[in-house]
Amino acid sequence: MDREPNIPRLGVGVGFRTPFKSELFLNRSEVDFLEITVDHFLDRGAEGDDELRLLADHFTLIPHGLDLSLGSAEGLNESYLDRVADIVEKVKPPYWSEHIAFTRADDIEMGHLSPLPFTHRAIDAISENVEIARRVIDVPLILENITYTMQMPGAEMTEAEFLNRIVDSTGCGLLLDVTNLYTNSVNHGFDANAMLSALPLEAIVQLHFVGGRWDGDTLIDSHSSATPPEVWDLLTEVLDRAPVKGVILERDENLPPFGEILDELRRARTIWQELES
Amino acid sequence: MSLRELQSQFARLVTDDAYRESLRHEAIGAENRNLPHRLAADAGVLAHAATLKRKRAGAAAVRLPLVRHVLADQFFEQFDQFAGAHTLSREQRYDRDALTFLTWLASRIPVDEQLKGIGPRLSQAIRINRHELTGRLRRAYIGIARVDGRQLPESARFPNGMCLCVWLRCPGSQSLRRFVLRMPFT
Repeated sequence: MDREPNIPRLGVGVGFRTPFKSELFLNRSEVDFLEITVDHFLDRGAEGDDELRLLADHFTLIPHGLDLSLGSAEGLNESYLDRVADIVEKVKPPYWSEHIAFTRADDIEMGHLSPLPFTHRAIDAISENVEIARRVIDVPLILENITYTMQMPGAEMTEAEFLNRIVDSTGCGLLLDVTNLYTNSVNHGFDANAMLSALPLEAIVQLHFVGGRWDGDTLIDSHSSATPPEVWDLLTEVLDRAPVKGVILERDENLPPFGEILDELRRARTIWQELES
Repeated sequence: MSLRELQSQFARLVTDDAYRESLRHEAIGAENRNLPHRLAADAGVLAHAATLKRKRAGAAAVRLPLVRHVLADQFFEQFDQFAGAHTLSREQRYDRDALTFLTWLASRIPVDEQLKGIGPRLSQAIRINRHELTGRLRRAYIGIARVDGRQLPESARFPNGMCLCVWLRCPGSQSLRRFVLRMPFT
């Protein structure tokens, strides 16, 4: 079942990063769509506006926010929300995305996605904030699972149950970061496939995938390396079972030659096409 | 503890080293530890705090190439100390963070033995990177580059034949101007 039938299929794309802009345009036919990080364009000025227009003229763009802090019990930063709305209005995407996390509390900006406790109160907080965001941005919002180094105390349910309830309560689709799912399974010792089976697969709209790095015994979600075999396996599993509309390679650090990025996009596209045939 | 209180405590614990350490010390040997004490002693909180700092340090290193060059390995050590006591600002956060770091670093030169030896070079690098960042925040900054005799004949006057140029956009006229920085680039 597809819970978001009005969202078109976008294909396989990449998170836009300025260093590979030229190569991106040289290989336009191999990139189906782009995800832009909203925060990179918030203070953009005239040159950023030009860049946004140039990208939007050639690709479908999906705005991806980092700092709305949808899980904050104290509510949203309305000025930030207005600026996100301005970008969404400019690029007219089929949907936009944010994280199931909080990044701000008591005027402290953490600048990083922090986990929510798996509690009913956290579900209420995110649902209230999503409702506020919807009043300002009238475009479907999808929500992404994050990695966490620790589970917040007070959990009243499992992470899978938490994500299911958030999807139900907010009516949002899910951006399943397959790498985050794998990373958490490694760092917290659970079976990634079992967790996948417990997720609301019919709500999955988009996927993220990439490789991380090891710091001792901990796998870090650094977006800094080629996608490992375990993540390819999970990606294949999700593509086979969920009504996915788009897949994004989310490389940030240690950017490789663009040819390596294209290789990964081709591989994801081939997996998807083979599953469908 | 309410969600709001929990988030407030967590945010403070992962951004304020001194606060976290004081709670951690109080927790040692205590029989009844409350939630903030337990969080302060949690390895995951420490790991999260380290991730936050690493992210800020990476952003600062990109914005402060000369200071990064002069400090070399000390850059991340110094930034770690800075970040443990200064939170991010809400607007233009990483640019502002880098500027605040420069101010903090400049104040450390007279009192930090490791910095004293490279004081003059570091001061010069701080000055240049500050100009660059301030310009960017005013949207006047265009670029900074190392140039040699092929791009700019007058760079031959410098000891190693290279110098630094900054391109700025003039407010009002919006015309582009190039400034040659009167320092050798080493």
